Amino acid sequence: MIRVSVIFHLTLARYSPNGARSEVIELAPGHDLGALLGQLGIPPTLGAVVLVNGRRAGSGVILQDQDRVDLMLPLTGG
Amino acid sequence: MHVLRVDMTTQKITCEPLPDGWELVGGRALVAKVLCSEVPPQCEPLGAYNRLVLAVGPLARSGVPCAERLSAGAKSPLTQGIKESNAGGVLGYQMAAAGMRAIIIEGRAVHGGPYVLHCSPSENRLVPVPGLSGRGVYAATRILKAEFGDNAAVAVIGPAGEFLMAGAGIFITDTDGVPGRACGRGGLGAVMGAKGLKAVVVGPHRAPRPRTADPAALRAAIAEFLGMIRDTPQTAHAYPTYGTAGSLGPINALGGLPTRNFTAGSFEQAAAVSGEVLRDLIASRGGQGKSGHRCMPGCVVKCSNVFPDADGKPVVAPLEYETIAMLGPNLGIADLDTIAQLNHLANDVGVDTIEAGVALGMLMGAGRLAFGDGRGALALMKEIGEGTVLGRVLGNGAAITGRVLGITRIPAVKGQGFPAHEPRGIKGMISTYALSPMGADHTAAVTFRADMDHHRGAGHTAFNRTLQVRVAGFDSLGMCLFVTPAIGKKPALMADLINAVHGTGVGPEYLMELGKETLKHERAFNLAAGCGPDRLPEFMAEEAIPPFNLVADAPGPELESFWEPDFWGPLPVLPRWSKP
Repeated sequence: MIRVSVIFHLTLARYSPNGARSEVIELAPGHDLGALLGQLGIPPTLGAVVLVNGRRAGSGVILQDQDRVDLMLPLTGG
Repeated sequence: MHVLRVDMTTQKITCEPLPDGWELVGGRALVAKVLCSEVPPQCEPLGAYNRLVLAVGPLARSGVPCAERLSAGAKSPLTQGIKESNAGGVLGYQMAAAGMRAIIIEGRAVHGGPYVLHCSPSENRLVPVPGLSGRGVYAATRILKAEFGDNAAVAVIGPAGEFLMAGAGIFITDTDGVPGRACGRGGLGAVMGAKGLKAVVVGPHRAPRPRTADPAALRAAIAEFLGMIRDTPQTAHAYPTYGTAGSLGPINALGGLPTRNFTAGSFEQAAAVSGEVLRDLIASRGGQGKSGHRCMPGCVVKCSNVFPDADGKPVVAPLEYETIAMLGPNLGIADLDTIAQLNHLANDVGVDTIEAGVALGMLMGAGRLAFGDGRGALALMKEIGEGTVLGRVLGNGAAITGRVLGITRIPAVKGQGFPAHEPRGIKGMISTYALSPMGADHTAAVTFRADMDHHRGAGHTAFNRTLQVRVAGFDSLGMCLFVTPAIGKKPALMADLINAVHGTGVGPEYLMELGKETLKHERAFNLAAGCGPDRLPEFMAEEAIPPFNLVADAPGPELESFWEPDFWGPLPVLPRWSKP
């Protein structure tokens, strides 16, 4: 198994399995980002932006052990 | 609708009908047109030939939500080019209620003052109020309300504007009458101060809303607009809950959060000043603190807030992302209470929180104050308002601070300090900062929301140009940009709203045409003014910042393609000015 840190920013905390803003989630090796989002129940239509290790990532990215995944709805500053 | 022209030299006020063909000209577009036709581009920004323009958009007070922003504009003492800075608050609504599309302030008071321009339902007049001299923004607002009425809308400058500091802003009252909405950037407060004008007070005007051309079509278009706001997660939930501060965590994760004088793109204590913590703190303290606050009438996004102290008493409203970042992580400060106090003091002094944050960060970077020293930062902010020599240096912004202190590493473009979207971590911002006629101004095109690889330097410029054009269109309509996550899905809706209000027949492409025309005017003014250069400071291409080891590396030829004539066509021809 691999362990991935997932950060649920802002309103996306509602998709956190235990309600925490940061969770370590265990996945089978070879799991891709799209599968993780599906597992968390985040609908593709939500427009969530995902960073893997600080970089914008598409759903086909294969996750690695110790990866950090940031889930967010991008806002603009004021 | 009319334009109110105020000559500070002669003290003459005239009411001019809106020029032919200007039915849809407002906001940033109006600023650009007035500057290109009435202001010699090479004039002294703090002299009599510059003009300060306050303008609303063509949808103000029509019933269209989020359309009452106020654009302030002039030749900037900071960039030496054209400047437009817009804010929410209630002045835009009150100007529209008074039938004003714009107020143009020209000349310079030769004696007396400082003056207040008071526009009541019965008359427009210039009133000398010597007791306002040197007053902070909050105290001045209290005096103005006592004199002219609690429900009047106020735009006021602080000591920074009176001292003619290039970092001075103009502060507008919000729906609670608190002067916390800032036309902060570009030193427009100094332009107002140079004219001898301390404040503009409008209203309260309670005239019935004018008839719109097609009320049924307008109702339908507004219903669609509101539906899109409700159906979009950002506008329905994220903005009202967390405000703009909600972007701090995501931008920090991306490596785009200015930290300790732009030496890093991520702050190890970011979690202490995030939008989530801000929201929880406001909720737990209760009292008069509030999230989901409306800054202007007709707002449906409600991104504003009221930040309370431990007893629930208001400290500042609003506390927003740019301010948190520039007076927090950029100074190594990780305490929202200290940041809120700095924000309140900056507002009272009347200085832009972004420009002051950059200047203070440079001072810390030079070792004259320790990073994280909130008490020291508060003392220096106070010095800006007192007009000490160091205060005057800082209040004149990043570029002047660098020159005086012998710092060559200046985070500024065209003399204006960088806001809180670090262009090495969010590389689409390289084009925004380098190429916007406004200098380093994030509002010209925030690329953070775009679906792109933010850590790649190449390939952003064409997209950025489209975004800058769209933003200039929204700014010219007086529309809040925070509706774009919702309304951006259907650009034709803006045309429907305009046509329903004015009986015009503009097409879905109108917003982009308007934005393009506005940018062309701004470019023409800047070329004639000699405002430049169109590039980032050298250190950003050479100093890699943690945590992702990134530099600002957009290819030069790509940046140069931004202004290619094939896209823009011929620029407007400006009048020839003989020297004064």
